[in-house]
Amino acid sequence: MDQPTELKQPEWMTPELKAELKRIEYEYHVRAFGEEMARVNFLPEKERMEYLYDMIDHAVAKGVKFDRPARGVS
Amino acid sequence: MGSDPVLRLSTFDILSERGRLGRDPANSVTRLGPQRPRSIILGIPRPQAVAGDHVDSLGLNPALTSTITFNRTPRHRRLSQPAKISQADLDRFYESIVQEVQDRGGICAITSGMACVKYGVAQSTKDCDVLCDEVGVDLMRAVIAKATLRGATAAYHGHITPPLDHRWLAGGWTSHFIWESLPVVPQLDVFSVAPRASSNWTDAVDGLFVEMQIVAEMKRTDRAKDWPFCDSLGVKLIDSGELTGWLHIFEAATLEELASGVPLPDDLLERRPALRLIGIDHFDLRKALMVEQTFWQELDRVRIRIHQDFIRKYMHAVKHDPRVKNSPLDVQHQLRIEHALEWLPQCPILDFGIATLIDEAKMATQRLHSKEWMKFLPDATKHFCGLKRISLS
Repeated sequence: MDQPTELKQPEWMTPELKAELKRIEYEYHVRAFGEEMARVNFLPEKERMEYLYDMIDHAVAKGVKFDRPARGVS
Repeated sequence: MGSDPVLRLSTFDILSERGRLGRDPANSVTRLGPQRPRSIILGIPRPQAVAGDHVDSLGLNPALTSTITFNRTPRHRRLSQPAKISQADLDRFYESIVQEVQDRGGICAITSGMACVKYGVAQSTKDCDVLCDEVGVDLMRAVIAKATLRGATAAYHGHITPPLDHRWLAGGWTSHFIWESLPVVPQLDVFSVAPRASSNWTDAVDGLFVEMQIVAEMKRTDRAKDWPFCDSLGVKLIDSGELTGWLHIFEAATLEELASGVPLPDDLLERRPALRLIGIDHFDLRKALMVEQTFWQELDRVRIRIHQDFIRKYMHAVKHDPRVKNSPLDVQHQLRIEHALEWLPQCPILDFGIATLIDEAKMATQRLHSKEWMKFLPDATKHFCGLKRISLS
């Protein structure tokens, strides 16, 4: 799945810029979501999903309610 | 030892814990009484304190019992709790519904929270938001009607939910579904118009999910918690080579950092005037971004208010219709259409007027910020893509 994305990369996307974008993105995640979730967001998809599933299941087991009232519009 | 009741319970408990028996292990604990520690239930020898050790109120040595957990679930809950449903189960359930609609030829895609998680911006969400095109809406209704989870069937969520019918969904309404009588109630929201989308979402479906661009636009809500997802998706878009990511970032520091290496085309500056302030004045840029964010939030508030003004009478009609209560989904659907025809305008935003809506949001923004900053607001008229009225006949 990664290969087509790599092929589509524009000329301005140099390897140095790609690395810089990763740094900018990671630092934004730290500012917006905190260190823990920043690390989670940069895990491979499988590990990331497992972490989130555990987190939500634990919250539900502790009585956290996720219900959202219907309002007819999103 | 095989006939030892404690050991038999222990085996049951362990299997239940692993989900093989499909029962909550807490239920089985009640056979031995609520005050028994888990160590006994699992057949683990209860550690004994020796002379000189500190002991707690149960006579256990904390140093030896640090890994032992106690069941503190209240008795009334243990007796009534059905089997647990994990988030992984729920996600597979939602995905199977979307997959089936797609397989039958409908265009539909998961968006919002679940899509953010997919794209690497974690969000703890248990519900699922799905976009459906005209064909997809009818297929979705058929699939939802048959979809069961642990024996539970779907129902419309509350009296407020409009019917899952393209005539109303194309006008901006959302249908909400739940699977009741489960310990964790799955919620599925279906809509045909992606709020604030500036392009047709049906051209931006990638597998089971809608593309990042649409998700980022949808996240410009009146809720503060949604905004970091816009920025994150914006950076991800740029990282994937899509310069439209510039349109979704609302943090000055990130924009300034990106500007040192990422091209910023003129057409994007036209679409988002606030970007012109990058590299000119940091505080002006921050102020312009703040004004922009306020504007989008006000726009969302006005949009929701317009819908809510109409939905009260519809909700009242559904609530007081004796035929609705306990009726199956298809009957509920027909009754809701009946009431919607009388009380729900198909597209309240078009009735209200997109220009009027934008003006109202601008006026609210101007009350919070000064007039000179209004020139940095983007043209929001393009962000009502897909809204339309469809003949009721």
